[in-house]
Amino acid sequence: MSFDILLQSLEVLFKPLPLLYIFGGTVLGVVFGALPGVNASMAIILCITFTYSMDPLIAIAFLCTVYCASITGGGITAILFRIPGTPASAATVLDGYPIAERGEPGKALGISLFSSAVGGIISTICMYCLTVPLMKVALKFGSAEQFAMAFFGLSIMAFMENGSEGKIKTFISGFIGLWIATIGIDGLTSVSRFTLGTKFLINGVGTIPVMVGIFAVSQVIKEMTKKTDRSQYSDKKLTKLIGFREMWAMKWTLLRSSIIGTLVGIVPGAGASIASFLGYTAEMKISKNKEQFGHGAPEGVCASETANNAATGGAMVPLLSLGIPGGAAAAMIMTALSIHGVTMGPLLIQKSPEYVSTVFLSMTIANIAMVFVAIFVAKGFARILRMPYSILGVVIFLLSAIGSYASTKNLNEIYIMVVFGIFGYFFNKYKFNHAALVLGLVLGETCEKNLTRALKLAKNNVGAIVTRPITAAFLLLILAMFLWPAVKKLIHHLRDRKAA
Amino acid sequence: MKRILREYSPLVALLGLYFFGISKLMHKKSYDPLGVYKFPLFLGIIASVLTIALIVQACRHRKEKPEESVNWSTFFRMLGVVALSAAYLLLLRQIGYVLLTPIYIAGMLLVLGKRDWKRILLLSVIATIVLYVPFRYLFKVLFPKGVLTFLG
Repeated sequence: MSFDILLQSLEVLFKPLPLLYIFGGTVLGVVFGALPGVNASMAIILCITFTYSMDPLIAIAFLCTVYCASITGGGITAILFRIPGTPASAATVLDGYPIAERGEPGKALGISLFSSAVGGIISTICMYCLTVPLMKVALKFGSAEQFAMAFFGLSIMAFMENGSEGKIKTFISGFIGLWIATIGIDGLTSVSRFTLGTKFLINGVGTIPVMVGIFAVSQVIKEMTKKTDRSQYSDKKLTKLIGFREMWAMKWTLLRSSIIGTLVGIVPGAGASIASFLGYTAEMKISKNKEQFGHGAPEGVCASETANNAATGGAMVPLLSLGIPGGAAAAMIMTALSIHGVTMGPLLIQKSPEYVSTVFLSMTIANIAMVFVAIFVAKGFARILRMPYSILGVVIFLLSAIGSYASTKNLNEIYIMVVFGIFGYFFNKYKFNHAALVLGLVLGETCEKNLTRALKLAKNNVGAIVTRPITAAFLLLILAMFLWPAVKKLIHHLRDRKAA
Repeated sequence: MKRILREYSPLVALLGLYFFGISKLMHKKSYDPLGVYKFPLFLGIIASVLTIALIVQACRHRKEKPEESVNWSTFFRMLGVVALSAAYLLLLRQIGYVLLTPIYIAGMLLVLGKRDWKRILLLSVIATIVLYVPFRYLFKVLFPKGVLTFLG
């Protein structure tokens, strides 16, 4: 992209009104994202009405801002109340909530916000500079590659718990999640599965009510059955954000997760939820403090939030260059712009490259503005934790119920949420793994659908699938991850013997 | 042994339900290579093997923990919370969100030990408004109207 086009976009955006729209979009996005049940695509739909009178360039800038900010906002309730508003924030709950539980919600929120901003900016730079080459990579991702990528995400289960009993329980939890993902009408064959002959389950079990039930409602039940000490929330640390030094120590986590998030984001259909789990998996594997993951590791929050926000920049690559929306939110942006007569695709880049530079600039400004906006929002939200749990618990339960209901406007979703809340309570009590269940649920459909498609395309030849370069690379990586501890042990053993 | 039975029998029952579901699927024709049941069947077999391994392991290292004494006040409080929540969910469609939610919040606060009536009343009304207004008017979420049909 030439510098002139960038200047042209700068001229369009650096005026009071467009800047006000970007700032307003950031505020709306963060607040919408923080509300359970309001995901990025819903936030964009709600904001489309504001764009009718806007210039198309400003409209795309405004919607991209809402998109970025709503993904970031999702992390706020995930950290504070254990309510992942969207599947993209599910990985954030795993370490964000334990940090908040220690009485440091400000720290967890600070990590989440700064990581989101950095992830968003790095992915936007990648998007601007590498749209065309990145698109070539994305086009190589067929069903087999997407299956391998989802399978790689699932492999995190092997490292979630230590000890054989913990590991077995984690795997069982994951398989239960994968099973839940198969309930309802199968997308490829239209056959209903595990619906017990009722209409109630025909559309399957929604990810949001299950997640909200498993994480939030089970926690409400747990907190209400025991006398909790909430003195940790009265201290000054409550709203204290993370320091620069601590954040700087996570620079490599930020970089790695940004790259992972951007790459996953450009794959149509993958999206922020897979990105956040992959970022988390990679970090968990690489980190020196593996045992802290799941118990409040700052790197865990940093990895998942960086990756899910980096996916937003990545998702714009197929949208701008091919006119293929990477996910529901990108599809909404595409629809909104079609109202203005703008058609996304290769012709847009050739004839109106200013759209790419406007998206780049608006997302960069939004990611910077987001830090300041979200600090205020997060500090306000963090103070809520000072409330006695008898009040907070009831509000969390009602907010969870509305969140589950709002996504489909169906009361059945609330019943599903409650069932999974009770299930989650006992699941936790008997030390099964919540996170593995959600991981299976989020990645289950992608895994099965793409495996079936890949097998069909390869005429049932498994060899043809596993020998595709990207698939083989993912599978070898999984194999290496599993074998590395044994190999490491063997090397140490041989060294010890030699030394002896 | 009691602990093992208590902890793992729901899991075994869940697996039983699962295989019952799979057996129903096996008769359905499908043209895709995996079939509608093979993927779940594969999951089920692995989960069963893992469950057996878990039970065997638990039997081998069994340590009966002393039974936890039941705290009756907590138990009755929980019973109240569950009963109120169940009633709330069952009556939501008939009575409506706006009318039932403040009653539910007030009931929950009472069950959870709050006794200051003014505070209970204020909290239940404010919480209902705070939860209702943004979702209804900003996000256009249609809540169950119940008896207050004029709410639109």
